[in-house]
Amino acid sequence: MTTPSDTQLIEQATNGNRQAFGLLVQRHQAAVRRFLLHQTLGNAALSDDLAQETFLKAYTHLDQYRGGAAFLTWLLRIAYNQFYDHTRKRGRQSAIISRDQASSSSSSDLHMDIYRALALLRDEERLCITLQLVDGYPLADIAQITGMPEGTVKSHLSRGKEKLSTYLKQNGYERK
Amino acid sequence: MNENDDLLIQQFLAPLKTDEVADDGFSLRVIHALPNRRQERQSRVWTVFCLVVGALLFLFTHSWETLLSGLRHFVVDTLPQVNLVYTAFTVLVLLILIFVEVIDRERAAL
Repeated sequence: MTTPSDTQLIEQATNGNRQAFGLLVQRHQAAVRRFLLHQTLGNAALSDDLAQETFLKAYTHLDQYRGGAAFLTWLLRIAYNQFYDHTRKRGRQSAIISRDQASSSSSSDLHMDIYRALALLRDEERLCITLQLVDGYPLADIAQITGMPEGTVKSHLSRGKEKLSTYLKQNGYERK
Repeated sequence: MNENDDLLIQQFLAPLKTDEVADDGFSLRVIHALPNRRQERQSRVWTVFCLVVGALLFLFTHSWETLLSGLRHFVVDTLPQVNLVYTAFTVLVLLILIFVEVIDRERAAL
């Protein structure tokens, strides 16, 4: 039996098939949650809440998905808007690294270092940097997810890399 | 920025690339929280029904006459005593706030 494509599942889910949407959630939850985890600087509880809101919004607006972009790109755009709304409502939050994550794995110190460095960036810079250097998206997809022109994405990437490079050199990472 | 700087940043961020996010019941929680489309449709039908009943009652009980008389009283008796500059300013501020909210909602819709 062949695995149904995203398009087939979306069509079934639009007609009220909750199981089909469940399959879409299972298929894309890791990417969406990981994306939000990076934007919230490792706050697992917050990123899961935002991810849940993302999927609920996607479900209620599924008929608006035109299929021009990949379904995951569309989901990440909603996720970014959820994150943007959250930070706008709450004001700029300081980097919160959840304690459970910091103590749960042997690489937690390294993760804390990374999130500390990412916290130095502006939201847009962090967004573009993580999408390109962590998730490996091309410029065109980043522009689609963020809703920014490609030129603006390039500027954020350049400024973000400059800041990260300075931070890494100042903290002795160049010698490691 | 040179190639070494780029490489340094890529190496620094590399641990994030291999992060695995286990489902841990997340998908199930989302599915349980999905709104029921049938209930939503029923609630929309009820809203329209109540609006129609309200409009019919408004017409058949001649409530529009009371509304018109109230409006006439406001325009003829109250409005001339109000400072128009302050009123215009307040209306302008309200319109700007509504405009900002509408733009924001449209952006947040997706």
